[in-house]
Amino acid sequence: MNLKVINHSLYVGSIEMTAVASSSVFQIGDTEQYSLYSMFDTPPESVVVGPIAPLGPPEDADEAEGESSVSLASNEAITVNR
Amino acid sequence: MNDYPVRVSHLGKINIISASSASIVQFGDRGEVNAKVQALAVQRQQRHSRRREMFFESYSVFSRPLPAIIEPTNEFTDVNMSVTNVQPRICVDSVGIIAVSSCGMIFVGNGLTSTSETRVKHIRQFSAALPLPPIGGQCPTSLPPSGL
Repeated sequence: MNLKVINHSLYVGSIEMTAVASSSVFQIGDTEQYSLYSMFDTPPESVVVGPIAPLGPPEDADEAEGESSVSLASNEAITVNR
Repeated sequence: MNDYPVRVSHLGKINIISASSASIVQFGDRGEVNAKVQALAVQRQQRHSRRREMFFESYSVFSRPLPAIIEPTNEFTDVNMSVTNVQPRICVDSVGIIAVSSCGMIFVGNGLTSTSETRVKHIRQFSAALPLPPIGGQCPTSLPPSGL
């Protein structure tokens, strides 16, 4: 397969980012090859199963494309009896 | 159509607050980068001076092999790529990044190959009874005084 790439003008105004972590890359420029690996092992105690804070759907959720799971039902709080 | 073999990056302003744990911030071209970090993130109920040291060898996440990248071998999956740069520059006015961590890499410039590997094992260590019984065994009432 032949892949032909033509790079035209690239002018960017402003980029704001919170974090670049765990084998992530932010680059301004060209490159040939990247191999990025990240392994993460977390104990089950650090995962909060419930009860969770009841969050409403995000703003303009009805107009979001490709987010079929956005509904009130999926954001209801889960109560776990111990 | 113009064809510049190398594009030059122009950056007006960059603002990075924190770069930690084997992170790279580089301005300029590079050949090869091989970054690797292993981390044991331990949260202990007791003070660290009263507990033993911990070892990477105890945990399988640090020794398991990396998944193999299978290179294409036949003529149908082999890719021949040709690049034409019409403009000789990439221009970015301003970049703002709060934190770079754990093999995170910020590059302004061109490069050839970059390989990066991060392995992090999180541990919560309680001095009281275990919160969950182990699978197929009895739940001990408390952890041994100096064991891990």
